[in-house]
Amino acid sequence: MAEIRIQNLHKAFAEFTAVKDSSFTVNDGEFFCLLGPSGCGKTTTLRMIAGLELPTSGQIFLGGEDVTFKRASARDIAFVFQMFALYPHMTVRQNIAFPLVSQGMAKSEITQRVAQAANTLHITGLLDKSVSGLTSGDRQRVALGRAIVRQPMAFMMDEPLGALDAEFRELMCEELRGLHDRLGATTVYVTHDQREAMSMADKIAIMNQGVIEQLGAPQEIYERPASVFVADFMGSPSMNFIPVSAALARGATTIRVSGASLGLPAVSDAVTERPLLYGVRPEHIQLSADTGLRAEVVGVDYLGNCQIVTLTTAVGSTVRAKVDVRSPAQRGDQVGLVFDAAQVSLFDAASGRALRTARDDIPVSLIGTRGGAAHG
Amino acid sequence: MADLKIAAVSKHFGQTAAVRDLNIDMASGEFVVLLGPSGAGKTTTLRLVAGLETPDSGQVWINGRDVTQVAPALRDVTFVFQQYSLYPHLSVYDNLAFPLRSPLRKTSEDDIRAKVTEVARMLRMEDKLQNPATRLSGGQMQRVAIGRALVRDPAVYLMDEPLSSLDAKLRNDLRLELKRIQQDTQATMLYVTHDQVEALTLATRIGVLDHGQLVQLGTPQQVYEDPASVAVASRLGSPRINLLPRAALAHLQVPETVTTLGVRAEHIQVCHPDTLAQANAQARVERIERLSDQYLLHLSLPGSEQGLIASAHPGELARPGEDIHIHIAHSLWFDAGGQRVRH
Repeated sequence: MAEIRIQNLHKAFAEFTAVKDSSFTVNDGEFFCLLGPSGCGKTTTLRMIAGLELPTSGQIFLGGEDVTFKRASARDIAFVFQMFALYPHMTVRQNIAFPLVSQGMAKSEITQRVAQAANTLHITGLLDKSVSGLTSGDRQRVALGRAIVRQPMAFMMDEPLGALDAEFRELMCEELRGLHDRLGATTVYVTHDQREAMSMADKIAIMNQGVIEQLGAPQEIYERPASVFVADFMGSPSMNFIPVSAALARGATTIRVSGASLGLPAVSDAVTERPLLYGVRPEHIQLSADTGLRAEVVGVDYLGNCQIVTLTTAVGSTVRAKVDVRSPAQRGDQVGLVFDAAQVSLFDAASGRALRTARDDIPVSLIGTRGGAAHG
Repeated sequence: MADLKIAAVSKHFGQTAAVRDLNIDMASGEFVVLLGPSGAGKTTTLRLVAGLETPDSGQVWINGRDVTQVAPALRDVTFVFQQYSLYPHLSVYDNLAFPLRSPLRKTSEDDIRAKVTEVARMLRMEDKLQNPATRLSGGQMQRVAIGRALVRDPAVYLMDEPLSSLDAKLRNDLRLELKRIQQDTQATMLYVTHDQVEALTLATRIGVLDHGQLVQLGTPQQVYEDPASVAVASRLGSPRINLLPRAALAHLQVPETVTTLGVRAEHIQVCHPDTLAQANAQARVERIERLSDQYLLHLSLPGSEQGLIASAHPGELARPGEDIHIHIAHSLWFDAGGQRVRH
């Protein structure tokens, strides 16, 4: 097991820069997610750590050793791909044993290691089955078995659940995180699904156009997005942004939008008149009959345990609110929007960066709670 | 726009019954989503309606006409596939115009231009019309593929997981857009997915398929709140419904035939001193999961391995390792065969 340290990593493909001057550290035993949309550079970063791509510049340290220009096979890393490439003519046991056999390991040790890996993954009963008859979930478990049997210093996973059905993905998330807790192995995991990242990661690096936009614990990234991009990417439905142009004094706790006064956490520094974005998450909005920003209901989406109400505000922006299923809302209703001021984020519209408020002074573990929460 | 009737349709492939005695009656303008795991018969149903498969028995009626023996091209349906197939050498405009230029239909170039412009506006792609199809992002390509179905104004739209190949975020955006388009055009749509969020938000009615059989057909509310079986209950809802053996909550009063209790995460409340009188079970907090706006308490019931997931409000969070009292406000009952036992 090992720490992975990335220093000023840069990768250009001809004209296109895939990864720009990235630096970060994955601590020993951490479950680290590289998260972002297609083409953001997350897979390229992962492939450079694994040695499947060489960086244009920068350095990669694995367990303190500079491995930047070492071959992939000399890095002691196991890679799990989205498309589980198993040998179809072999049994589960032969598939899992394969990396050890090719290393020339003694037979007795292979037997023991395979049994151990199968036990960890709860697939002991499948060992003598043919791979071709397995369900997609079991195939992915075998692919994981082939990675863990080597007992490498670190795991690289490239959207390993991407090919699975939605409902099954949720179950595999639980399982992967459970596996990580048992093995304690340093893991770098690439995904475009914020929900996967939120449920599994110790730390998330959210990437956009080759740059890490924010690095932090899942709840920190969700609660205190550093930019509009991050705020928009995390959460479903994503954060609402209401455009407003205003100057704010230091300590201001309200902002005027189209006749309504909207609450904010106290602004840390004075803001000169400029276009701003008032950011509020769907779950921090309540519908009210007569107070708040005026809006019209344009759609209602039932989700079983809640409903998403889509509204058009008096200032023309679209807002989505997540409200109780019993709350009556129908297309065409005129309502007021009331925002939970303590939970609001404020952004500079031009740069997209978050402006500092009193919210940044609260310990992350207490944000959004009244009691204080631990992350599983 | 037309109504669609699938009457007692069955289809076998060799020994496998892909669709068994399926009956669905769709009114014009309805959005029916077929939901089920891989192999449930969802795609086969679409292909039967499209005429890409012929049923062993039963009929397909479109707009009051029995089309069971009618060739696909003459059924007036369009099919949107999971993998968008655009003509790479054509512009967005020409891709959208393509179905209208078919020799089977004689549409003037003026009418084509009017129709393509209208659909492009609906898809919010007016400014991309002259782009080559290959210069689009995945989401834009899929929008063009959907647009190609829309220009034709068919009687019925058939969509086979049209969003599943897209990024999570794009999928959400396009899902909302698709719903808006369907509401604006009042198109009749039969849509297949295994994503329960798509089903809940898009459908006027959801048809849940399991092993080729329609196990329930109803509004999203009916299917979520009043499921006919364990299979339906566990297909809808995130987190998934908790399924507990009767013995795990032995003190709850339920009919004799009940073997399984289904409890949704939102129906479990953590009791605090004021609400302690309501408590009807004890549990230990194993861990707390933070999913963006949701807190999930992973609980275990005393004296069993049984796990339970409860969604908690920030105000009622407990700590890992803590023993708590919970109030199970509502449970669904199922018999040994997985069928619902009603109160």
